[in-house]
Amino acid sequence: MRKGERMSDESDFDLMLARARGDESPPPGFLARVAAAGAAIQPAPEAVTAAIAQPRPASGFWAEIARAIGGWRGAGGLVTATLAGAWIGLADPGGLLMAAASAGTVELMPGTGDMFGTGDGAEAGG
Amino acid sequence: MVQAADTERTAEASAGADEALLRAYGAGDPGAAQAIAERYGPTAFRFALRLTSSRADAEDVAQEAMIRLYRAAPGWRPEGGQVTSWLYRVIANLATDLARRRPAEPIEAALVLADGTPGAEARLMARDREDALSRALAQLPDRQRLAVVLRHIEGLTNPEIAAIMEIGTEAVESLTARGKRALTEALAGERQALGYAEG
Repeated sequence: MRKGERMSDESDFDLMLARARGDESPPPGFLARVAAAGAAIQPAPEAVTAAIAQPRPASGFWAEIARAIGGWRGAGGLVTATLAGAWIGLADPGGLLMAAASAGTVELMPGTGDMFGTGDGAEAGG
Repeated sequence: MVQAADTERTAEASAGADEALLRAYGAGDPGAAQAIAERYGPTAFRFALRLTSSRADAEDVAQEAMIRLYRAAPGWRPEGGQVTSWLYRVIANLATDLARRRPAEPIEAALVLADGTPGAEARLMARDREDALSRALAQLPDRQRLAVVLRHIEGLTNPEIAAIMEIGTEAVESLTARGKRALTEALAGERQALGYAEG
């Protein structure tokens, strides 16, 4: 184009525009940075997300029982108590009975003898 | 007529590929983020460059637009239109916001030194031409510049531009006509940078 020449023609305009379009490619590393940013905020794969978000509850008779007694902690306590009871009953019943006998009688209500006139205090006073 | 039908089929196929790619990203496909960057990143940068007249600003604007695209991808609906149209709209808004926050600065001179390596001079000339176009575009009002870039650089049709700018096609025609005249005058003042011999 010569100085002063007007670009009234469509092809001249497009030619000048095409000539003016220099390096339009993104700078080095731009696409990698964009991809990394996208990967950082990408949702997790659907299957994994679904499994984490909605664990399938166990169903059936034993699952209901386990839930009723407080889950695995409750079941553990129950098993421990059962085993302790079985051991007491089977391992040494004689020793346990002897220990109970040697402990004597425990007065749960010490004043009942006086109340019904069968205690030592009533006889002493009569 | 046949050509129009072919163009329509190509657009439909492209829209289908867009949707499949965004759906794959939303489903956690490990290669989808990279594929999206490669498919839309260059367009985003080029368009942002034409609106901001600065490679640094263009990089910021294009990257922000791409991140917004990633965020929109899992809930993308085909009726939302083509991905590139969506990107054009987002980038235009981001560039406008940037211009409002910060007045336009003089376009920095290209610091490409002629280091003697093959192609160095060609790169220098290409950068000069790019800067000349940026200076010329920067002289246009915002909406004229947007319409001219979409029409004459991105090659969109007037109805496509109307949808992006959310105006009627007659308004697009008016904007592009006035913008083209203004850009022609501005480019004429850059003839030396564009490599035309002074006569």
